[in-house]
Amino acid sequence: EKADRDQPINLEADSVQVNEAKKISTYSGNVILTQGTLMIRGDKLVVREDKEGFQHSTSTGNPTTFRQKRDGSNEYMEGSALRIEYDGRMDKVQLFNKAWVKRGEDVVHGDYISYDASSEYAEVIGGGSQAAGNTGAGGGRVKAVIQPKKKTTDSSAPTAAP
Amino acid sequence: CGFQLRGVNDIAFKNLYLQGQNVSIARDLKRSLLSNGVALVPTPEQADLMLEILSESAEKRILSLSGTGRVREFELNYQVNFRIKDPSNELWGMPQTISGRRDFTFDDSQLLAKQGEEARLNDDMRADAVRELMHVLSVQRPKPRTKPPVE
Amino acid sequence: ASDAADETARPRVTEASTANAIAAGGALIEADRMEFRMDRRLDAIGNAAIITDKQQISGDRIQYEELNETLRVIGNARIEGGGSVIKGPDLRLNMGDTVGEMKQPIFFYQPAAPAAASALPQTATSNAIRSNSRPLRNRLTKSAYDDSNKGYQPQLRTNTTAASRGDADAMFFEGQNKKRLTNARYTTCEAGVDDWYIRASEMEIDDFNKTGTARNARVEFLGVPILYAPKIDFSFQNLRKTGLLAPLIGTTTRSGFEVLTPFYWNIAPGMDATFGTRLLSKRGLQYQGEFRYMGETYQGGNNIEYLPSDTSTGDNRYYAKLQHQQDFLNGWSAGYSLEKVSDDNYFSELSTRITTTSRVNLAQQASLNYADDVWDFNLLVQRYQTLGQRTFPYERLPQLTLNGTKDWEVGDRYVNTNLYTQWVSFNRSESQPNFLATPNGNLLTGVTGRRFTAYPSVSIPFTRPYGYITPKFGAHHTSYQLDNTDFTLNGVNGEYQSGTRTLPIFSLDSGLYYERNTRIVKNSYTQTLEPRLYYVYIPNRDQSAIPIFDTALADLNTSSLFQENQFTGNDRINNANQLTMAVTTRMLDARTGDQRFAATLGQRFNFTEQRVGLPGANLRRGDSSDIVAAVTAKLLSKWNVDAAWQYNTYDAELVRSNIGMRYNPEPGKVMNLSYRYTADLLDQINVSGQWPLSPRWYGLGRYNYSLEEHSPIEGLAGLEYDAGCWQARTVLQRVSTATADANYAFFFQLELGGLASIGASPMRYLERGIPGYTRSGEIQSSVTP
Repeated sequence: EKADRDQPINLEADSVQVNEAKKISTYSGNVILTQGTLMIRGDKLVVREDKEGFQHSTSTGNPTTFRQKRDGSNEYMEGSALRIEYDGRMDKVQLFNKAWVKRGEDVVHGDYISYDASSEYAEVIGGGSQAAGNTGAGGGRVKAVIQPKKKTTDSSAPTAAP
Repeated sequence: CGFQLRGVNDIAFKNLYLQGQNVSIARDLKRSLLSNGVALVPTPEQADLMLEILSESAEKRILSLSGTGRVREFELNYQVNFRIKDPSNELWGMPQTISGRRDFTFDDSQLLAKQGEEARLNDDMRADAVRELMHVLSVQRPKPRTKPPVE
Repeated sequence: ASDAADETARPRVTEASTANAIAAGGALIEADRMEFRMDRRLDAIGNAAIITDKQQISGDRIQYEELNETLRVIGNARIEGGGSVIKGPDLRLNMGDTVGEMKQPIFFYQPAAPAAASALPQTATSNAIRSNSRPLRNRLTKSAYDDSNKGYQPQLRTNTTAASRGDADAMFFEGQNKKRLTNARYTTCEAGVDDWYIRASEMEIDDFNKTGTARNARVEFLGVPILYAPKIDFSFQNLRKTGLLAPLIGTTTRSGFEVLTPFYWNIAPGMDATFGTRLLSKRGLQYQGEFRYMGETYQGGNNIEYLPSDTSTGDNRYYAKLQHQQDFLNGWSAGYSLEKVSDDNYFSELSTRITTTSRVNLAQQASLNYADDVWDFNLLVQRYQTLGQRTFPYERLPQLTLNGTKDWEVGDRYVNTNLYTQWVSFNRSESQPNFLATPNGNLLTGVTGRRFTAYPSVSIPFTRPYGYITPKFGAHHTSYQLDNTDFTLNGVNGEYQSGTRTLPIFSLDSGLYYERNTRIVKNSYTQTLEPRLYYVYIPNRDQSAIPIFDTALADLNTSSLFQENQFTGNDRINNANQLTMAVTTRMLDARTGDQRFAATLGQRFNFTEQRVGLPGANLRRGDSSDIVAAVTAKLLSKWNVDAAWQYNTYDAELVRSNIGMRYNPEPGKVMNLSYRYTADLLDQINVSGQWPLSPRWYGLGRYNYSLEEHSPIEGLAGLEYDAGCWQARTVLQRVSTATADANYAFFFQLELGGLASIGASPMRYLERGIPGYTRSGEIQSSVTP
């Protein structure tokens, strides 16, 4: 959600090393970053602040996951990969290797997924073509599963608690 | 020359489950089984052997014509297809066929009498088929069932 | 390792989750690369595919607009599903209502293979109704023989396993199972073989009913348009389809060139009708109609043919057959079969099928039957239309027959009791005197009357594994009430008398079973030797005052050798004090029990003169009957042999000698040879066969020559070419007919992948004329490994 960018960032981890000069802090061990509805988890998280003060984070894990509520809908976006890079300024998330992103019930699976929250544009590469990072699982194919389109009538009905 | 009288009554089973009974030989077959000491059981589980009559077909064809195109001889064919299952193995046996053939001379001026002869030959052909089927049954040596029959 | 996995189960794209997503109506999309614009457009690039439960659509690039559910495939578009594959440069399709378009489509259709065709040999019943598709399955067993003029046999039949393909300028998807093609071509030839096409400016395909309709269609065969039809209906999978059928073309000397254009109407699942107009160059336009129906417990067929003012004879000519059978399931069943034809020469002049040209008596009958484990009851009302004869069968108005058989357990033995009773009223219309040519002059009489017969009998079988003895005691009682009882036999007048006839009948049947095991080549057999003695005693009663209603002397063969009464029917009971001796040997497969070979030799010794005979017939001379022999064999080498002889010991001459051999190694290869001789009745040789001349050509032939009449009775020569997706057959036939001189008929039939056959159908003749004949189109599919 756009509002996330103005929210304070809260970080938990087993240990942290801060390098004030380069404005890089490295959190490792059960790292959990929350900023408004955005939540990133992983084994290791490196946060870098650029000149304009935007935060750029790179989390790695087996896997590392992120979760964020989408604008103007109570649907959540979730994703998981071996490495997730978040560009605070562009509000863009990139997932590398064994990546999958789930939006509502639909899920897409590939080797590299980039998701631009502001323009709501996502791109998934199967690693067949210009693979970012090493070739992922699934022989370089992107797979997306789209759930049956609910008839418009029932989706407006209040969805019962899961 | 090696022939001896047939030995013990060689129907080697007591209970038969008969499937596919709306065929013309069903009544004679049941009577023949009964008189050979074979009981018909209502369910396959109680049976020592299962016999399924798959189909039967009867045909009457013109066999010979006279010079003026009149029918001189008719041929009667009868065929029954069946298969046998030994309760101890899962699969049905290969379908087997018993076929009979008769022919009789025909004369249009004795139509009713020839209809009587045709009926007699048809009955005789079916009686032969039942005898052959009984012989096929007498050759079967069903192995006792592996699972105890469901009481 | 981190335990950072959060509680929510990570949704993995596993086969299981994908499968039930698809099953629930969702879709799996695959590609090398995908771009999503949330809720607006998905762009899958790099051999993309979208898989739903109905079908799989693939192409170089797939764009899917989720809002309006439209799908665009750019490059190598391909839709696969429901047995069909459609390929084209690209595709536009709305997934919601399946509306869309594809340019330059190529399509292939492979119907799901039918359930494994049962391996049982199919012998078609002689009067099975063969329609242009699956015959209406005939569940009620046919009792009486009622082969009759089948009328038209539509021949549009799709070989269920034939694949079909085609192309078009454009394909429009118009709803769930509806497609429309413009400027389309359709064939069942495999890719690369373009021998024939149905070319249509427009073609509608209904995937649900597996049918198609081609508008202003042309059938092109080897590039030559051979058939134009404003509308052609066809079905993909041998389903009955209403519509215009391919016309039948033929020529006969008697009726000239004929073209029959049929229309098939598939009224309902168990009901169909065929209407046809048959243009006969020498006679005019004949209308043909067939209406058939079938249900769980009933079935019926009605054929009508009407030829107004035949140009050759000037009068209206018609044929009608109405038939119905009903099973009431509680043992009762009933039916009627009524047949009528306008004039005596109808069949021989208007039909070329032997099974019809040879018909002389057309039954008009109704029957009511009951059967259970003990009783058999039959009520029959029957009369005949007789064509061109001086002998007319008696009308039975009605005949009631009741027969009961019951086994009783007495101690450890069974006793069988049988009661046969019949009451019948024999009538005849004045215009039809009974004229019977007998060996010693003619019998002319108008006698009618009512006859009651009762024949109770008891038999007590003493059976052992090695043999049996079965005495049988019975009393045969018959009583007659006769009207207009005078007759003239060979010029001498006489008179039948009402009265009764009661005879005791005693028979003693006995037999032994000898067995031994033998081996032939590598198979082990049980060979049996079964001597049998059969004694019959029936005292003599003078029966010359009893008329002949339904009685004649039965053929002497291995069946009648063991009958009490050599006469069929109830008007004559032969006097008997005779002993029949016979021996039968059989070769039975030791493992399966199948009978491979059986031979019987028998003779009857008469200890009294024959004193009961048919009017004007010669009585048997001498004390011994003829020697009768019969052999039947089904050899593993695919040879079937059936032979029978009858030798008269008194005159030391052969009365009957029939030898028939059939060699049928595999479908499409059959040879039948037979020599049939019956003293002063027939003396014929008969050769028929179907043999492959080369991988694609088959020769067909039948030659039936009467040595007695020194002339051919039936000749048939034909060639059949099988090009895989089409078959052509041509047959020339010479048929001698009952009421006119020989009739030559020429047939040509072109069968396009079983889809539409053009040309008069010689099928009926070939199956009757060449026993074991297999249509070339079916030979490949039936030669299964």
